[in-house]
Amino acid sequence: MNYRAVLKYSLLAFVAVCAAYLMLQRSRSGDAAPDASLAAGLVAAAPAQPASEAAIPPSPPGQPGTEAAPAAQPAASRQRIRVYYFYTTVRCPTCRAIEAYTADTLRESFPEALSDGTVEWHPVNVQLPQNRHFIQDYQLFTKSVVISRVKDGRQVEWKNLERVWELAGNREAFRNYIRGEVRAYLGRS
Amino acid sequence: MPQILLASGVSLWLGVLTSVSPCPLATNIAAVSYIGKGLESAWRVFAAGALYTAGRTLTYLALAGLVVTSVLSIPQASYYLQTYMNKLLGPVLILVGMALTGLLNLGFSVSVEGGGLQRRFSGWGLWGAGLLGMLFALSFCPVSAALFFGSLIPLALQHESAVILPGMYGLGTGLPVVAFAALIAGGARSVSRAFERVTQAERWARPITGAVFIVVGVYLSLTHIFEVL
Repeated sequence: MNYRAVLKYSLLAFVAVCAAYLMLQRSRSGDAAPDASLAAGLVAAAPAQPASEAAIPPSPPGQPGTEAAPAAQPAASRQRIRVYYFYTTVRCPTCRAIEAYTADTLRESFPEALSDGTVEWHPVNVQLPQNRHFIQDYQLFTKSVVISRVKDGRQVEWKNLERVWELAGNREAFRNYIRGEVRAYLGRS
Repeated sequence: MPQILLASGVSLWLGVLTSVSPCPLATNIAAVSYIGKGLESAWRVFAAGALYTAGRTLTYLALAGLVVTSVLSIPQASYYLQTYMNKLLGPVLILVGMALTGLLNLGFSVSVEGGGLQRRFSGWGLWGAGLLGMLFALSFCPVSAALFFGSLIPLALQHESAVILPGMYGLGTGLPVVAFAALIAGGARSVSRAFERVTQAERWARPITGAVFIVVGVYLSLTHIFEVL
């Protein structure tokens, strides 16, 4: 067998493995009808619960459909500002930078608000089935930073910080943008 | 009227920004090698570049039309294309690369002129560039999704322009790739002329393009399917 034949069958085998892996991925994620909710054009009400993902403060994950209110959290009547970073499983360098700059800004500029739960940080993988609703909830079209104000357990307003992509190449401008938006939300009542 | 001219300029610039951002680099390399492989004449490079840009523009026009007329929702279209097109693109590019290098020669092709897949790809040279443009335009990455769905579509809605502005955007995404391909082809032709090896350079152009497709296809598969890079 010459080298061309070896190369040919190796590449064909690679393509076959890709196809098999894709099918396995779909069956594992129960994704037989991908984005069925999207295809149906469902637009759910904006969510009140945080995603069950890692967060900077010791804020525990919420249960789907309920508002998490453990003892360490502020009272339900208090206002909370949630900062979400929505991403997908495949990460790109700019996407990682956006996440890191946002997290750093919150840590450095709002340490007390983070520790008392007034400000929450939630990186959320929207490709996970349980988080897919966020795509429609916030009308997401790419990796996004969204800020949300929750009062009395209900979300009262939210904003997609769309300039993060424009400012991702300028760390200071990016941090000023995030800081300004969080301060503006914190200042409202 | 001046407003639509300004918006057209902005759309063109958004397209250029999309093309020169780092995330479509792999597909741009494949496109440059495909467009620039027509070393035998500057006309072929120009025609392939024009068809590649036309292919991209057609895709953006169709997508913008579907979104503007509310057939597709922006989140639905954006996430579907980002998730599935990038996964499919890797294996497709490997197979196209194999055909270009002659590794895949389907004897059972039903080509009317009796040739195999390889000959078909030779004939496709120019039209293949258009198909490539359509395919690559559909493989959105985070930056291109942000610019197209987040900047261009709102602009098109604001100006009620489902044709001109997406068309300018498509033109903008193709121009840098075509310019770069023309430079590379011109440079390669000059160098091979200097060494009087134009025929040999042309003979190597297609396998090199095929090899680039295979490498880019493997890279995209490892990144988007196996998520190891």
